[in-house]
Amino acid sequence: MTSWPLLVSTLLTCCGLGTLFFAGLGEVRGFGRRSRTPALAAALVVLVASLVVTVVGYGSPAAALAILRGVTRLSGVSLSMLMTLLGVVLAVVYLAMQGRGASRGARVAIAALALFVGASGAWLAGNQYVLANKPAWNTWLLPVCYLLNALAMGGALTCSIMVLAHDAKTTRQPLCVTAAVVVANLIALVGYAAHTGWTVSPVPFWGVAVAVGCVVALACVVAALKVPQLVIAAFLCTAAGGLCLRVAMRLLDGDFIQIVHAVSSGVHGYGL
Amino acid sequence: MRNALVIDLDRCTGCDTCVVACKHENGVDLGVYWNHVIPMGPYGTYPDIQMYWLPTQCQQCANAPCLEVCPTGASHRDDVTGAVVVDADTCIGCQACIAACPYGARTYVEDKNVVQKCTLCSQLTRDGKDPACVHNCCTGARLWGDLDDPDSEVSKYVAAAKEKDPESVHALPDPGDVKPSTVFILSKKTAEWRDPE
Repeated sequence: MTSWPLLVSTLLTCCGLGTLFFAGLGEVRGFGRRSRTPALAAALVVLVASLVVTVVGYGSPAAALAILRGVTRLSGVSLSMLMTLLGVVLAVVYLAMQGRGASRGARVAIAALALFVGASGAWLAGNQYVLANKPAWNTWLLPVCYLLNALAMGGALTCSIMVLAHDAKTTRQPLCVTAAVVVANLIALVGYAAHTGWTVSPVPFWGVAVAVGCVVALACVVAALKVPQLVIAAFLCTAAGGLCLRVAMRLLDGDFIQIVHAVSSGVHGYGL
Repeated sequence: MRNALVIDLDRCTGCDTCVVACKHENGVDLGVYWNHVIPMGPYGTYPDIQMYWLPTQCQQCANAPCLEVCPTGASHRDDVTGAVVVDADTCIGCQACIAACPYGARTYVEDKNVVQKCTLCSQLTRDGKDPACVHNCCTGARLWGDLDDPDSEVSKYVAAAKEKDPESVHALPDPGDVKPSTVFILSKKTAEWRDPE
């Protein structure tokens, strides 16, 4: 759950689900029609990559599948895995509907599902780390940071694909939404740092997650209103920010009672 | 039913017999521990110095967070004893339970890719016997039984301690309504209770 491959898998999950969210938003708000198929394909590829990393992290496909047993008990790990799988299924169905020219009603219905799965899945990816035993993680701000970073990545990736697919005429709306999300993410990150008593690691958190992942990303998103290609840089910045948020969080995994864990780790070993 | 340990710290001498007995009974691997004895102190300035031993293991929480986070159901309550145990065949070694446990009670055994912990010796207690740490405690500091049964030995022991000194009955700090079941008895004549940090 806290191993490095699994932290990377949550980044990919959030990126894929964020992109799925923006595909749904585009359907409802009417942007990115021509580039929706490549955007959905990108979301699908990223979500499948997340599942592959999850399998690597848990050592075998059987172990990764066994995770789903905990869904009924609302285990955070299980729910996050379930949402990733739902994202994959939704992306496949949505892609099939795109290819067959489904009715407006059907497309809006699946867009609504994409909005729900995208947002709730990203939130659940962060919420699995909210544990009473981890004081630095035990805050609702952590899943909020995950969610906002996911939407920032999804928005920037969607706009990047729109630019690359020569569908840049309607990027203004998603760029404005992405900019608003990045600003909200910046506020949430500062709130999270305050929750930790300002003990977050300076380089990964302030240097990358905040400065690069929010400030530089915001500058790129705003500049992309005039130079659309810059949104690709914004996507890379938000992805780097998301990765370093996870690194900074992982470095703050101190336990509720340190001494017991120190003994458990063999600091006071008995030589038995 | 709330089967749990009652540990009288006024009697504990920190001899580690409970640690050895646990390893022997449960075949615990070298370098892995299902229970520990933590030295608390010494505190104060000579000659006013205090120290006591704090044996810890799974606290058998009423609202065990390890059960909530386990994605496969490997961590579960034993049907007969009510103790939180881990099914090694179902455990995938994700260590979510280790992250969730406030009391460092669980250990990841890398070569088996499973998490292990104190089972309150369910293989013994199912048959009405005491856990190995209780049976082998040299000073009789450890008791085991049902804290929900007012007639059990442990309930009577805790009641007697409370009657003697209401402030002598303690539990490990609770980070968020997990309700640890293990009861510690430490009277001021031995040392002042300090929450481990």
